[in-house]
Amino acid sequence: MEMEILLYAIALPSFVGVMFSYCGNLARKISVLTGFNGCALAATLLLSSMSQESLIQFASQNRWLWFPLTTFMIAVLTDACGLFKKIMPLRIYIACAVIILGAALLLIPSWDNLSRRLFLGVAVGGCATVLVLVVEKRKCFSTSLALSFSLIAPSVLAMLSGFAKLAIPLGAVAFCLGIISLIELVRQMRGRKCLGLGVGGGVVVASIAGLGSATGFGYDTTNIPIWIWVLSAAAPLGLCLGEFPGICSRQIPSACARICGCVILAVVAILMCVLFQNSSASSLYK
Amino acid sequence: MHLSSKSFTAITSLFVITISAVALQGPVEKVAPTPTATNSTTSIQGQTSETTWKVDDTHSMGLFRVQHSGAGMFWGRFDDVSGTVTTNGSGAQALAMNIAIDTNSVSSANKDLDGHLRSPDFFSVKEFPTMTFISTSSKKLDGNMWEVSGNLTVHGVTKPLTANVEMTGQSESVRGKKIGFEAVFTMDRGEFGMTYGIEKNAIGKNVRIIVALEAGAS
Repeated sequence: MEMEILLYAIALPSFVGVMFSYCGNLARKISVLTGFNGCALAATLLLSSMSQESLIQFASQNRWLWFPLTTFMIAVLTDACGLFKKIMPLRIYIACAVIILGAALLLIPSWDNLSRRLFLGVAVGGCATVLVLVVEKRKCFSTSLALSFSLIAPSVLAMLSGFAKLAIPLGAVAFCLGIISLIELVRQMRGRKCLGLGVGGGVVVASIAGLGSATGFGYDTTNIPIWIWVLSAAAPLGLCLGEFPGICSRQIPSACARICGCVILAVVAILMCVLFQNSSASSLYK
Repeated sequence: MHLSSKSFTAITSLFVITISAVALQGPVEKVAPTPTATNSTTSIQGQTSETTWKVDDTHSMGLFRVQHSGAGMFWGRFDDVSGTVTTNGSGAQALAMNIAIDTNSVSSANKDLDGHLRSPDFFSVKEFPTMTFISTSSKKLDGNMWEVSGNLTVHGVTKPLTANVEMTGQSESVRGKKIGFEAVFTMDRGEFGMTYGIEKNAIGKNVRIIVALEAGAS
């Protein structure tokens, strides 16, 4: 069983994602295209989710599938903006608008209130803006690697809350990002220019972390506190640690700081969740 | 009346044997009266008119059984069962049931496993907080057995299903009239969209559900 999960839910979707990313990078060399890293990551998420649950009747049951579908829509619309030179400067605003629309479409139990979902969209849009600025500035393998580590937090939290079907696709995206960062490392070692994740990649990572954590929180029955879910959603913002004065000007310390920032936020979220669950379990048996 | 010495010896021997046998058997126990006739009747007694029974959630529960790893049988329970049972003695609607189970009350005596059972991998309790069975017809079988057909709604999907229902007892005391039922049925969880672990045969497709009900006349 574990082998089948590894193959169909993680390895194959990640392979498709990496191929998407590779094709997008080829297109970047020959045209003004800015790559398909957003679609690559969203496709990995969607394919992995589909290996867990049939998309048929997703509207009436298995409504958590709105999350990968919404993320895919965000990715397609954001990457599509790269096709039009005129709207390139506006991409980030368009991306934020699309995220807010995506969040409004989410179907999360006990989140029927539209204003709450719009607030979620604005928060995730804000994170995406910050993330895209760093991702575009730091075209380095360390950026993808750091984001890969950051997505482990919502994945582990989903697993700890008992939602394996959500945890596996989030883990698959983290794995896909890890492979993309390895490919970038190889490129850098060969002296080639690193292309980075692009606007689409940054937006989609922020969406996956934010909307994924919100979905995990919505379905959680183990009562993990909301602030731990917020921490896991904010884990990609650990990239900002590499932008601190004194570090940002030096390449290697900045790369290490980016990785450390994401890892620290992710590990803190996971540790807090484990501690909370242990404390609530011990109080249950007093 | 004169008894011959042979007759006297025979009577004395019989007396001694009887006394010995009784002494060896120990104290005589009173034979308990048989349970009230309602336990073994073939119909719901005293049901000339329709009676609606309200399910006592304290003394009612649901159990489920599913195969794990293609080997052992895993048992779990639902602690919160509610609803009504209507009896009227005869006809296709002699026994009507409207039962709801709170899926959040699922319990396996393992906290981590309970969290997984409540997640969208299985019952998705946040999305579908109840599973219901609403009967449409009933058929009297032998003894206390009934065949009750109806619609089962689990995980947001409604499917027709037939349950074998045994009337386990009926009583009347200072606490009022009580009636008990035990319903048994098997469902294909895949048909209800609960597919986790089916393809890999980690968790069985067919789930046997037993619902034990105690209801009081309302």
